[in-house]
Amino acid sequence: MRPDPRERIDTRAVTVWRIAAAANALVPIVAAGVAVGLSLDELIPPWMALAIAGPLALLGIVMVLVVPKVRWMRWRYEVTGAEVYLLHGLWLRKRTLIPMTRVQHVDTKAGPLLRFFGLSSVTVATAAGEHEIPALSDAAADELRDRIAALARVTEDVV
Amino acid sequence: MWSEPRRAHPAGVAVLALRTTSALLGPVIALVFLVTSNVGVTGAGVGSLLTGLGLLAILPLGALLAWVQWRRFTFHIEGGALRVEQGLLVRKSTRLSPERIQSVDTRANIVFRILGLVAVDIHTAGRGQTPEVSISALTESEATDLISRLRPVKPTVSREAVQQVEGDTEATLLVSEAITGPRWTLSTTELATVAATSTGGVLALAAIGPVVGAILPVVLGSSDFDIGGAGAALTWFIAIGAVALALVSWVAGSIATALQYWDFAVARSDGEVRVEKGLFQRNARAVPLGRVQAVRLVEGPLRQMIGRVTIAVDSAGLAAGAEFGPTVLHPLLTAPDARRFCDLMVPGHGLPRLQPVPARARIRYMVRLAALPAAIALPVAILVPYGSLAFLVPLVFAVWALLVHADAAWGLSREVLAVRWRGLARTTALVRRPRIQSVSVTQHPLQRLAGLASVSVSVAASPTAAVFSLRHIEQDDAWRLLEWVSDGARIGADEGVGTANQSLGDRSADYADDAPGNL
Repeated sequence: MRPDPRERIDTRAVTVWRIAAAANALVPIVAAGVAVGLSLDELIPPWMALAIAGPLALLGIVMVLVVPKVRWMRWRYEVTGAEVYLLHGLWLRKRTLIPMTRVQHVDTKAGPLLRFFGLSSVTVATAAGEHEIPALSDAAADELRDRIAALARVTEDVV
Repeated sequence: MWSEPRRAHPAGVAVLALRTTSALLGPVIALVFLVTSNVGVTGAGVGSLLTGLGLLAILPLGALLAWVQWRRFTFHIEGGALRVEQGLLVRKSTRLSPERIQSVDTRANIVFRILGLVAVDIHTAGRGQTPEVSISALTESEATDLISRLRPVKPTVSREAVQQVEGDTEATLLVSEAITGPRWTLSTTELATVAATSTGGVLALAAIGPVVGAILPVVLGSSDFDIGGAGAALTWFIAIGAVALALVSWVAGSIATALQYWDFAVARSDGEVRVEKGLFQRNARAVPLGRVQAVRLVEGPLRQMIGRVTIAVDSAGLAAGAEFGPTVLHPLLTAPDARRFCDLMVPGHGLPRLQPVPARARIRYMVRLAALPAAIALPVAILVPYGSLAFLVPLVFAVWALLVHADAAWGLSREVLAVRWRGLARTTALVRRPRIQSVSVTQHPLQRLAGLASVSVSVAASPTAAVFSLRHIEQDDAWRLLEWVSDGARIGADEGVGTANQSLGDRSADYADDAPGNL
């Protein structure tokens, strides 16, 4: 088995993902709040509120605190002269290999959230779809984009 | 003939007019209805009525627009490349060099056939559903001549060179460009077989099963509950009707397929494969050999039963209406014929020795496919009289899962990857290593415990990428596949000044940087 890719993505990715997860977790949080509120008004018994709010709160904590951290830990990438090599996934570990000769273009992208943290993602496109390396520092993303573009260009001149 | 800008055949005006008018028709009719809907209701509807009629007057505008479009569309050959000028408000000028052409289609409907005309669609990669250049009408001879002039210039190779490079796949691929092979056609019996075994027909026949399955418990149950003769007769009537309907749709599907494959011919000439077929709507497509991204050997259930295989190729940048997806090169070949056919038509795609997925993966295939039907069947079995018949469904899925597992296989040779899987049909995809756009190996913890992994390989195709994947192969094999692609990537990157064969093999990747040649 080939060794894991060497590079990690930026640590601030964890924060960005936590914010995004918190936004997604709003629904369960509100549901939990409603359950607690109902029990305070004695509309439902406290045990029921606990049964509803407990798991929801746990889910929220896992989604917001645990998952982003683990996802960051499990994201690796490596770019050599010949290929782009990615490894990610919490549960389903996915190793992807893109031959440099097949790279068509490389983009850096950043939404408002990423931009606020000075981060960008790098998108590597082939004729059969795109692959994204999320959340690198702007400088690292620019450098990586230019490096891949240069490598892809070099091989492209050859063929 | 082609050096001066010229227009399409005047018949093209009619084609464009039909297209624009039909595009306008829907919205206009909707608007007219909207405007005139309260005429007569509110009493004073004359204004609305006039507006409605005014809207209808837009339709002839479509024809006028078509005429202007036709006039503005000019094309000629300039320095070996096709120059096209078009556009009414937005002027568009295209320069299309032969190297960028992925395939050329000619289409002729019944009217065009009588007039001896064809429409020509030229496809490049990465254009999604629409052809890069579409010439609305040309005479057949003009079209043939134009297409022949749009072939890339090829190096000429002597007979001795052929001898020298024997054994080297890449070089043989190049040299064999010069071959002009025999035409393959379908005899009447073969055409009938193709028609009767088409996928549509199989689906229609397969549809009978569940219908009968669904009706049967009711029929049996009816005697139990004694809803009387009339009820039972009705149920039988429905059952027989459903079977008849399925048979009719099978026959209809067969006829449609027969018309589609009427007078089928495929031939190899000058480095491209040319397929022609169709009675009323006659289509021809030329796929350059260097553009083939993957070869598929498809064995539909009925065709597999009679030992026949369909050969199709994936190529990037195809589009055009119903004919998208893999291009069928031959619908009905025996295994030995298929081998000869592939050697000639799509050289360099020899079938590697296949290796089945491990036996211990069988249970995973069965759980994935049959668990959900079983979970649904359980309450049905408990709640509905004769509901235990519902278990037939998961049983069918389980048998299907066994087949899916038994057929799942893969293989590697020096330059070719084979992936075989079954949906309804059994498909074997053959991909040359330089054609692989990316490869992925996925593994979840349970798979890791079992030493299994799933793999998938992406290839450029149209309208979207083709992904060939296989679940639960030996994890060591998955790593081997990853290394094989990685080695190929290294070779690709290290390769010195491109040899001709490399450029033949890899040109398809070049469409990368130049977007469709808009100047």
